[in-house]
Amino acid sequence: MPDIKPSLEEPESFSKLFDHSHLIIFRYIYGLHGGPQEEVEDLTSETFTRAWKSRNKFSGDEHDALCWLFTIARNLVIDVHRRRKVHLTETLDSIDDTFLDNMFSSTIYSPEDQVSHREQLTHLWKLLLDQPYDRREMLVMRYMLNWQIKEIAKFLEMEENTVSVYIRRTLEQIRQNW
Amino acid sequence: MGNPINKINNSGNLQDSDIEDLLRQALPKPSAYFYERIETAPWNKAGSQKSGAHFITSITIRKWILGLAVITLFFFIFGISFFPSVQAIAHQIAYTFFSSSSNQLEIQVTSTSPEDLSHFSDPINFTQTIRDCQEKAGFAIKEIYQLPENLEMIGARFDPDYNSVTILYQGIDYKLFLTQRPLGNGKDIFVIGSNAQIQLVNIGDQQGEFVIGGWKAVSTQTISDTGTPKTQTNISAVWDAQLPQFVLRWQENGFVYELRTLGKGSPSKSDLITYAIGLK
Repeated sequence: MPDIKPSLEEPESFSKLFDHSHLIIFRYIYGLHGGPQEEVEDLTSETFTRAWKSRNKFSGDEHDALCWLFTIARNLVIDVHRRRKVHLTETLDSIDDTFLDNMFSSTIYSPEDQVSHREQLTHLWKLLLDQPYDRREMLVMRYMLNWQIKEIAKFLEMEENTVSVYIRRTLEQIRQNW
Repeated sequence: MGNPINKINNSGNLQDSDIEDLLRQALPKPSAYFYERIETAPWNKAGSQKSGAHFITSITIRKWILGLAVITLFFFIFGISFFPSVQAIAHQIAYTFFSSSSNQLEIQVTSTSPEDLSHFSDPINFTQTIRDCQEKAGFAIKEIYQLPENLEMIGARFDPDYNSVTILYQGIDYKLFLTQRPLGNGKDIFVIGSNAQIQLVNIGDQQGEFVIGGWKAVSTQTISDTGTPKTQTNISAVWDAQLPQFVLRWQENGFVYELRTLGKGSPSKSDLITYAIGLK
């Protein structure tokens, strides 16, 4: 990948980075934070604002820039949770309606199936948020962001096999708690 | 990607792959409001010239205003802590009682006549009419509109040093002083003991303060300065919360008012509030 550092300091270049990555960052934050939608949007916006302010310290290509954004986003979410000092599930009664509305807006499910699907996804979301932070992050990357195991392992600086085992065990635990 | 709904409905058949499918469908999107907000971000192509610059300018201005406010607050607190003149200004703004640092007060008074001190509250010092005082003070003077039985107006006096007018009323076993002056135009020397209890009271739509007690002189030493008619009197006083003295203070329409009683038969707090509401 080309080194984008020389142009990242320009608004046009940063704007391109935003266009390419904001949806991924948004979903990553959503998976880690859990919602509601407004807070996730605030955190996403804050992630890019912080990146913009410290862009002159960044060095690397587009992949590095994405990892840099993920790191900022992760730190922001952790900070929020530390400040609140409460478990995620205590702040969320159910998955955000906006999230569900977006999901079902383009599907072909019947009304009955949509109700059923909403219930299942809400239940899954609660079980997901019950998982330890690092396991949840792996599931979000693997399934919501569609990353390969090796990409997750590289980002988290772990062995691929370890990541694979963790994901498998977490899925098993969610299934048992269903 | 399969539809996991039917499989999960049969909960006994739930597989890891069903959970994977559900997670893959969890693809939230930002709302339109999020994109509206981002339009004003400094990196936004369309907004970088206008909104971005405005965004940064706004932040800069806010930082300057915040900085100035912090500096002003610092000097204000510093001034209140160390400079009596700033204390006085702060007092004029807030108009609350000054609490002395202790319950003991040392006062030095230079006067042309010792009688002026000892007879300050004497009726002979209230020989002026309200109209006379009004002309000297230059502002409209209020008085207790409906005097109750056994309360008589003795007279008034104008104190140019304090730009205040005090009216003396005499009850059976007490005196009642009504003092008034424009806010911020004149000194206010009355302080209360550090242990004095200030009660906040409502006077109609205004809020006022009510304090029980007063300073009791425990020793008085008069030093005559030979060659001049002036004398210096050193008074040592202690705050006595048991003294039958009540003070009610409030401000209204740019004026400060004070009702002070002296004597065993002093009217109660509610009576003073009634007087205060009935001033005309």
